[in-house]
Amino acid sequence: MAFTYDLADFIDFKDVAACERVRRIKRADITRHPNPDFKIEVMDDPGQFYAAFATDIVMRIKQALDEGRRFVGIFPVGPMPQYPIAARMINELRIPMHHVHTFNMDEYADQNGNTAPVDWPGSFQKAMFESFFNLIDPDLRPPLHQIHFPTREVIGHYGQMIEDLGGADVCYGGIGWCGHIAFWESSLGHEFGDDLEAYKKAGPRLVKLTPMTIIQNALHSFGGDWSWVPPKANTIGPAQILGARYRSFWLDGDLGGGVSWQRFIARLVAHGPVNTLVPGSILQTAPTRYVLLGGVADDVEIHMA
Amino acid sequence: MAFKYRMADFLDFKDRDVCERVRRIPREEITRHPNPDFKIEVIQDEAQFYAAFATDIVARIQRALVEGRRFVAIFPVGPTAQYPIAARMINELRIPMHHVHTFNMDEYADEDGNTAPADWEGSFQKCMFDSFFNLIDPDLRPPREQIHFPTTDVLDRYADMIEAVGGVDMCYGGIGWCGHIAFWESSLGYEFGDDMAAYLKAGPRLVTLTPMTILQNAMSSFGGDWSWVPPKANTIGPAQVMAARDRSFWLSYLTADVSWQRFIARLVAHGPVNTFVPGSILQTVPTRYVLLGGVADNVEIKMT
Repeated sequence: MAFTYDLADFIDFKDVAACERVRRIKRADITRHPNPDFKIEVMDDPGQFYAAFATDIVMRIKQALDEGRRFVGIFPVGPMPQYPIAARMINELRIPMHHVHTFNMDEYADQNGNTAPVDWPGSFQKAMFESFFNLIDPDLRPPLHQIHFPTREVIGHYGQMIEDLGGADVCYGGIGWCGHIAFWESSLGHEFGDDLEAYKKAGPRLVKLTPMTIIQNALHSFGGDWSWVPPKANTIGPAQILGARYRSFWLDGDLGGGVSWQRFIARLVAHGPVNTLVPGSILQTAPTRYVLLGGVADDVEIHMA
Repeated sequence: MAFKYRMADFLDFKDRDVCERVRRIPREEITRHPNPDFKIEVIQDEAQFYAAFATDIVARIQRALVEGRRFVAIFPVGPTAQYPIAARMINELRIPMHHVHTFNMDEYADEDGNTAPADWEGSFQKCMFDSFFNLIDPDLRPPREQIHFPTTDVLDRYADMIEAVGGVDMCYGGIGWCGHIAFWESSLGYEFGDDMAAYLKAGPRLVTLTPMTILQNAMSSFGGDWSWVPPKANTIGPAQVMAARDRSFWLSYLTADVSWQRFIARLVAHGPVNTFVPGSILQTVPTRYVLLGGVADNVEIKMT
């Protein structure tokens, strides 16, 4: 007997037919895409996956160094294991990072938009210093004034700060459960509707986090404690993501034991319609590396537990 | 520097001080409780945990049989790993279940309240037959008419059906991310406020699922696909949970070292008894409350 039903009210993207179509995309077909510049890969082993991510970072830093260029990168907090690997590579290969300028894509805020302080345990600033910058030998580290976060003081001109350096060479990132890039939430699509052109020009701002994002982050960073996740965040917008000369996205939302929250949204972002309620879908239109951990590429199936 | 902030608007229970207090309960202190009848245990190993759950079920069935009594139980879907183990025990120990009457606590429904059909792959009915009843040798199985689900056609008289067989000997269950028992959601607290007496009398009904429950079930059963989880469900109420002669709850959600259940396990057992944390009512009655080791572990921030 068939059983059909409406999507829950709180979900922003409500195209049931599109959801059913992408849900059925098999692992074997997941890397096929009509845009040859949107390159989907699957890596089964987490060790290989994070080492590949780290190598992508270090390779671009080195390439710019060799060519006498500045390197400007947009970085995410989550995934994280690539950072200690990249720091180790930088130290052992002795690659100076004085030409490197980093812009983190987002940071938590309170209900009034005040940024999480750098010493708060859940702060993205703290995570970046502890997992990456502080692990790099002091003589190789980028100068502190070249390391940027979208805090309250700078959010109003964060887009301009990137432009002033000639724009970003690469935007690294992950994909959230609601389809977000950075904390640019699915709910923001309601402000833009079908006006994709205006959407693509939207820049840094304060955003109220969706229930899906609060719950996702409670799950993997706060011991499941939904009361511990801040209600808002500062984030870059689609303009910074698409303004970068390249994009490199890494989806590692596999919890082990056959459980991954990311299988469906990985498909909806890569193979659903390009639209404002699935923020990551804009990646389909631009040169992008889109890498899935094997457990994320696996088929979307019902397993009662 | 301190960082204080309001909890997100969509959350139902919003007492931040309480959340901070229970968050800090370390694993070593989690089994302490002022009510000696609310018995908290931690079982470290997953195999031991599910075998203990299965054994609890089979032992009660066996005892009722020996004493010539009917055995009436409320069962959950989730956890489910205990059911095949219990079926194996029943088959190999040759324990007939003709005296057993089962009432499942909940089942999915569409936006209009129509119950998921028993052959839909996400149906709790299907899961109970696939993981338990159909694994029991046909000559030992309870008669089909003694196996009940809160489907749309019987929901209005589900409570009476339970009473008609003499009430429930044991209510088994788990705890959801929002603190729910069955699909009795945290959001229902708004209907009752502080009127705990009315809350404890509330019975079976159709409920709109909270965002938290949709996402929990998307993750645990639907490959993370939030578009695949039905928007509503039928469920028993606090009246059925409290009226049972005993309660036995099992908290086991853990993958690798990630568990969403660490915080809510604490809030349910050690927070205030209130209508926005449905499971908190268990603190007031005789209950076995068993945590898998990884659920008992401390609530900590780990950036990943």
